[in-house]
Amino acid sequence: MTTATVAIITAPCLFLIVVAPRTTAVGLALAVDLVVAALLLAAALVVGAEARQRSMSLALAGACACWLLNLPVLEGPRLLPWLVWCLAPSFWWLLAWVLLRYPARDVAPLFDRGVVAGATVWVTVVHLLTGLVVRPAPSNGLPSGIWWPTLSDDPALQLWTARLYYAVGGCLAIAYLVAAVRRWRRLRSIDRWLAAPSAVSVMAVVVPAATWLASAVVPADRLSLLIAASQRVVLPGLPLSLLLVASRQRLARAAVAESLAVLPSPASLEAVQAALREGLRDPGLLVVLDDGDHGPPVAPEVRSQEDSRVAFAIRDVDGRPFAVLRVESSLAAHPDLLEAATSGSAHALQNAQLHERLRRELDDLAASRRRLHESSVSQRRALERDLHDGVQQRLLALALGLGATVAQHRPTLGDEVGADLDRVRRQLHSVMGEVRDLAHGIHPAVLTQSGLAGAVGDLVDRLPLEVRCHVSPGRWPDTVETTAYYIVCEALNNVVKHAGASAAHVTITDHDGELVVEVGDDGTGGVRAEGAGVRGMSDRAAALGGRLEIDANGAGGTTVRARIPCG
Amino acid sequence: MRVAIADDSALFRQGLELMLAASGLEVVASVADGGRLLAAVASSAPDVVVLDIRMPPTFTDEGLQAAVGVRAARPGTGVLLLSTYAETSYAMRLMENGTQGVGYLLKDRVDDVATLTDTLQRLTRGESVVDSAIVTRLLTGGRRERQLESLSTRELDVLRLMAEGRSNAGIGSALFLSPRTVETHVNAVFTKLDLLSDPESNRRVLAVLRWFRAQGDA
Repeated sequence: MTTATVAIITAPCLFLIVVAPRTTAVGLALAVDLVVAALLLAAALVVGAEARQRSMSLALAGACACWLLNLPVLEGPRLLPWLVWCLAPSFWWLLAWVLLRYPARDVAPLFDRGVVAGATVWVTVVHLLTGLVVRPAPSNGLPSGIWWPTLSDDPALQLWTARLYYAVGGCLAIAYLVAAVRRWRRLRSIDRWLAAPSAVSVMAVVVPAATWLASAVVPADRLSLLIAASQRVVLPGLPLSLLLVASRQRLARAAVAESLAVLPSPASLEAVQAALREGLRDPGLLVVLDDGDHGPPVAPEVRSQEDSRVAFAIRDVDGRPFAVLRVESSLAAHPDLLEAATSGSAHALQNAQLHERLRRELDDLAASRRRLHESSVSQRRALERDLHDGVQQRLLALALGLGATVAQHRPTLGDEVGADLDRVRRQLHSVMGEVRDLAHGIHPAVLTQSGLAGAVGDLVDRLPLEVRCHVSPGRWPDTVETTAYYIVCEALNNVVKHAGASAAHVTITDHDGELVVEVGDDGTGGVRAEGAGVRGMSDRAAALGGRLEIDANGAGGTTVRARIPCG
Repeated sequence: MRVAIADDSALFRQGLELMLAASGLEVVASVADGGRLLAAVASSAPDVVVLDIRMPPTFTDEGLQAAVGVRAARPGTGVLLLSTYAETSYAMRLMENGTQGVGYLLKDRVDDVATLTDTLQRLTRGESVVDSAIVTRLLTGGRRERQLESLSTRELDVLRLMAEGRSNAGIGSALFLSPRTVETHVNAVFTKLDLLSDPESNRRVLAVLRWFRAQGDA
């Protein structure tokens, strides 16, 4: 089909290019006329191959036939010249009709139909009238001897019919332009893109039309050359523009597929929407993911209509609608494009939807984990404070009171009683020590009082290991400090238990809004990346949005590094 | 001896007042925060002040700041800082402002009349006092043992008592040694550990504490 079209177009063009420099003006005019005829035929064939465009195709074929009648090669039966003269102008209204309507398939508006009907009447009736008042003579360009019906020969009548002819013709031309403009303004999105070439060519017709109208005022023989020339320049463009419109129809579907094919994977909702906007040429297009919580399943066609937009369902592989495509109502007349759009984007959209859902869930999880962690830390701190302010204080007061009483009465107490009381006091001290250790295990008060520098120093003092400390003396949010402290605790415990190390170091610094906690040893334990202790450290860091890294040192020791955001 | 007390816990203050009374000492003021303490020191002129490190409003180191204030207002007043937890860094910060008549004890140390009296008397004499729990912690631990293995047992004992802030006389009476022997041991310790300070000065406790701390920081 396409090759035939190309052949039909290129053959006469080549003929023209080859012949033109070597021929006379008449020969050139003939060549151009043949090219126009070929283009019209090609357009008729191409348009005929589309669905529901039979009437357009027939109109184009008719226009081609009428145009061929124009060719000045007709000798023959005496009746023929009059018939040719009657029929040939039909070329104009047939072509005008196709240019105005193609590629729309809906019912033409009343105005358009009125214009074309008027054109038909003018071309047949009025044209006929002008013929009826002419007698064939060499001055008219009509050879004598042919059959020509003549009603009257009156020059006044000739003048009036001529004026009528041009007047009606002029009004119709203006009405046609108005119809063309109205049609352009009615068109939206893809329809505009499709019809653009024919709209341009319709405007170009203004040139020959204007010259023709001018011949009403200026004597015909001086303008005839100009009219003929301008016609021949513009005319090939008309069927050519129709061919362009037809090819755009075919390209439109491929354009939609193309714009969807270049989407990255996974595509975001915005990317799919942008691709569809480009492919369907609808800048206001919207893709809305349906989260499935409104109402019963959607019919495949129009679901709702708001101002000039209609909605179409996008279905997944199981046929369930999961998204909605909102497009210009004019796109409803292009079901093939919509089908390409919805089926092509379904997969990408489903991916985007899944990703979005997953991301939201992950965010929720991370926030919930952080809240749990912070709640746990603050509960422990509160417990430690309660212990300190309650139990520990009262035990202290008891110890002091007991000590004071014993001191006061010691002279009068016997040795036994004195010894018993001393034992009681020692046990009391022991209990106080246990409570203090318990409270320290729940939450080290030194951390609240003196921050990480003090707490880590205190911790390191209790260890049977040489530990070098570089702890930045700043303060950070309580949860951050507590998490860092327990990570250091766990890491140092691991060093003591497993590493076979003689020395370790603890470095805590603030870097780019992150607290960096590093515990390294020079032992031979190798990198220990498993174990519940490491998971515990990693969980603590991750709960605050940070991470844990474990690296090997040069000599076989391990460095544990935690990064905790403190923004 | 006139003693002023500052602690935010009324329960603790009551107990301490009982202890001091049982020790035969006079309590001239008993207040709940550092500001009131400075006022009490100005008005009642105590010989020594006993205060908690943790006091309102932030409960971090108000006691330390109050101690600095007291010694600025009335130099020569003894200051005993009490803490629930033994923190070496506090002890050092305290000592850096002057070691004479300055002490740092754990709260559960003060329930013994003998210890309390001894400590307060040492402070009024201008000596320093560092809780033995802190010193013990500083002396033990794997890293220390290597550094201290050049010292003899006696020298270790002398080092411990020096870290607790005792004078040569105090060390002598605690270990039943003559003053000359004590001096010899002190010099030996200073030489072996390469301590940078005058072995005889009152500031040696700070030097010793610093030395311990310095081994922990690179």
